[in-house]
Amino acid sequence: MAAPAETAVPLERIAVNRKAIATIAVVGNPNAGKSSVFNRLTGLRQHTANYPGVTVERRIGRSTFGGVSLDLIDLPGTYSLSPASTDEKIAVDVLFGRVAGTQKPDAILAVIDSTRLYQGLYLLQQLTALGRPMIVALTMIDAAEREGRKIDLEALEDALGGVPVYPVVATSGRGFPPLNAALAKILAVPPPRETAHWPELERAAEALVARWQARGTELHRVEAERLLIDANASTLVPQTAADIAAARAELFGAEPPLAAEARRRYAWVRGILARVESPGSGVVTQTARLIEWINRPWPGTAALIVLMFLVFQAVFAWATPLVDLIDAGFGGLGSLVAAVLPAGTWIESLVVKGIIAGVGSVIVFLPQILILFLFINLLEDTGYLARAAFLVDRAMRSVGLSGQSVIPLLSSFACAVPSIMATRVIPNRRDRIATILAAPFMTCSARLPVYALLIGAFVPAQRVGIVNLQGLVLFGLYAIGIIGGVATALLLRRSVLRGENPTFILALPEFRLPNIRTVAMKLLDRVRVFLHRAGTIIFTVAVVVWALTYFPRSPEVEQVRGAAEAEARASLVGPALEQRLADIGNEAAADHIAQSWLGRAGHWVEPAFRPLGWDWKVSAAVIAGFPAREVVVAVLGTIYAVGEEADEQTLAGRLTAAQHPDGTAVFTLPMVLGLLLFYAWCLQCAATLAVIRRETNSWRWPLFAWSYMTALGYGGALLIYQLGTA
Amino acid sequence: MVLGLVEGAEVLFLRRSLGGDPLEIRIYGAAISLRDEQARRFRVVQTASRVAGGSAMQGAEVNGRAG
Repeated sequence: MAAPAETAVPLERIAVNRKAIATIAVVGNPNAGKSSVFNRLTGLRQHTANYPGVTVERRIGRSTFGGVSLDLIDLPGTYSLSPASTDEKIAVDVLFGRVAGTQKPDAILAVIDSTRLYQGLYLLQQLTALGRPMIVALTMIDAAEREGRKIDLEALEDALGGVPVYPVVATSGRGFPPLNAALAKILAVPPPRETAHWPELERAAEALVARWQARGTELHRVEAERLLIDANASTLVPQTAADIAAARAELFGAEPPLAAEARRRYAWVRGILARVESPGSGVVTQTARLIEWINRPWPGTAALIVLMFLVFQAVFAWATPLVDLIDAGFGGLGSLVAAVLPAGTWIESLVVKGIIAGVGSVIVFLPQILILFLFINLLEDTGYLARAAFLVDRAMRSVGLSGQSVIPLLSSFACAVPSIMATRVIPNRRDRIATILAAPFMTCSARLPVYALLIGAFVPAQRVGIVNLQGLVLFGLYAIGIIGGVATALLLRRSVLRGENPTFILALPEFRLPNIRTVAMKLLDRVRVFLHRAGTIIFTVAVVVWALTYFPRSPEVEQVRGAAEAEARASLVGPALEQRLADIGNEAAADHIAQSWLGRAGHWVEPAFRPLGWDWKVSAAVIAGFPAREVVVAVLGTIYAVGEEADEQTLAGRLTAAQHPDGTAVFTLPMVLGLLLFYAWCLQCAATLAVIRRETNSWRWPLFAWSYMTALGYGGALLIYQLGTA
Repeated sequence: MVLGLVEGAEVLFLRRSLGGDPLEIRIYGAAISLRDEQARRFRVVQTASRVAGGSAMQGAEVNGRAG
């Protein structure tokens, strides 16, 4: 019998399905550097999704440590196992394996900030009682060293019950090799010994566990302890409310359970801290002195104002050339494709004017969004934004917002969509909703093309003293947006959203150098959100608007066009002919749009907008802009027969010359100012509405925001026009 | 509470923000911002008036529970 033939298979062709052996929970206080550690351990191999039913994002990364494949879950930061917010609740629920679709973690990687050991030890102590293998990554060890603190690692490990502690610096990677090696063997780490005892609580918990076991429910002793301490936990197991209430009354009496726990545990923490940490030597460096000075209220405010000014300058200075480049690029692409596709057909129109223009209108925002979010993320990573929130908190509260609203509101100057999602950091629901409703008032990137067009056309480019008039009007529009937002928040907080401000305790991180990797990843995240949420909607809207302006096709218009072209060819040649043909084309487009669905809609609503000084063309363009502002300038261009890619000069010229049927000018100064105000205050963005719905979990708020802002815009434009033409 | 503002804790008062609110305190090395109305709920006992570090601070011990 012949020997079996051997086949050589290259190694790359062998697919090995590496299933993760275990799930590791990455837990820790907020701002402890958890995400930096997580990013360094998993790199780009992470996957973001949503936990069911809540707006909290789930990040899981798979990585191999010494040949062992592990799934790491980056849990939201929490200060204790008694959750104070939705984010913290998710973290605790995941730890206890209560979240559908998420694996209960087999082991724990606790990330603790070595400069905030006092608070970190509280959570650590709770975690050790869970009885799972655990290791600790002690971050920012370089900052601790700079402060002159010394941490006795062995004493700490012992105090925690034998939990291995690895000092690391997430920004530089220092200390990661031993951590990686430890992760490879984490499942073999014995669970910590219990080092702190609360006999009464433990006994009551064990009694509960026994009682529920008899009813068929398995509960860990620590879960029972949390049930006894937490306020709303009794929904977990049915028919337990009475049990829990009785046990609680016996254990705590009149003292709130959380307070009792905090008292006991922190007493234990203080004891450990004395053994484990020797405080800083008190040496003050020049840098520290400078930082101290900037933290003072007045220097701090001055620094904040200067910083904001610089950031916005940079955004405009750097973004403008990029925006122009992108515009030109897409314009060129459009021409290229138009040359290839059959001219005059709906396919050519759809691809060039619907799809390519649509995608272009999304991409054109990226420069501003990227630059502004880059600055904000940098400032956030240095710890400066928390300081800014500290400074402005009082002022913000006087207008119904919170100090932490300042970051989402600043981000709204780029695009409201990621900023509204960023309001999750605001713990008070009423403050949060007020911020969400104020955000769309901030002048976002989408409003700028309209502002630029109208200001360029109708505001004289003169100087009044040292101030440029056009710049002044632009600044005024920004101010009007801010005023609108602030007034809205104030109004809401005094009426619909009236209520107390509960505890606001903000951890103020020390200043540290930003970690480029973390900043980059957060930036990518925000851009991804913008492209996915806003981009898809903007693009869809652009295509829909294209359809509304294209259909129905009118044979009469084509006949008129044919006749005009024949006449032109008969009497002109060369460049004059080219120009005339182009003009005929534009006029035909304008005629088409006049009788299209959009044009008819414009005529139909014209009576409603006549008191604002608008004719059907302006009305049609504004209607087109309702789902997404950006399309307005392109639609205006088509309606006024200059084609959408015409430069501003040509369009501006047409607008200036536009007349009502009775011969009076359409674009008078009061009408233009009214239109600008309409744009400043009107909510014309379906993506924003969608994200408001998602973040507030109801249609009530987006509907309210839309109606309220449209009414404001209409009212303001009406007032200005009527007053101006009286 | 969960941040460690409990009986027996040592805090350093650092400064007040614009308008006097909120205040910044340091508790075992960690800086925390606290609104005035919450801060009033704590009873503190002054233990020292100037601590090395260059800025005017007030050492105190938190006595009594937060509401």
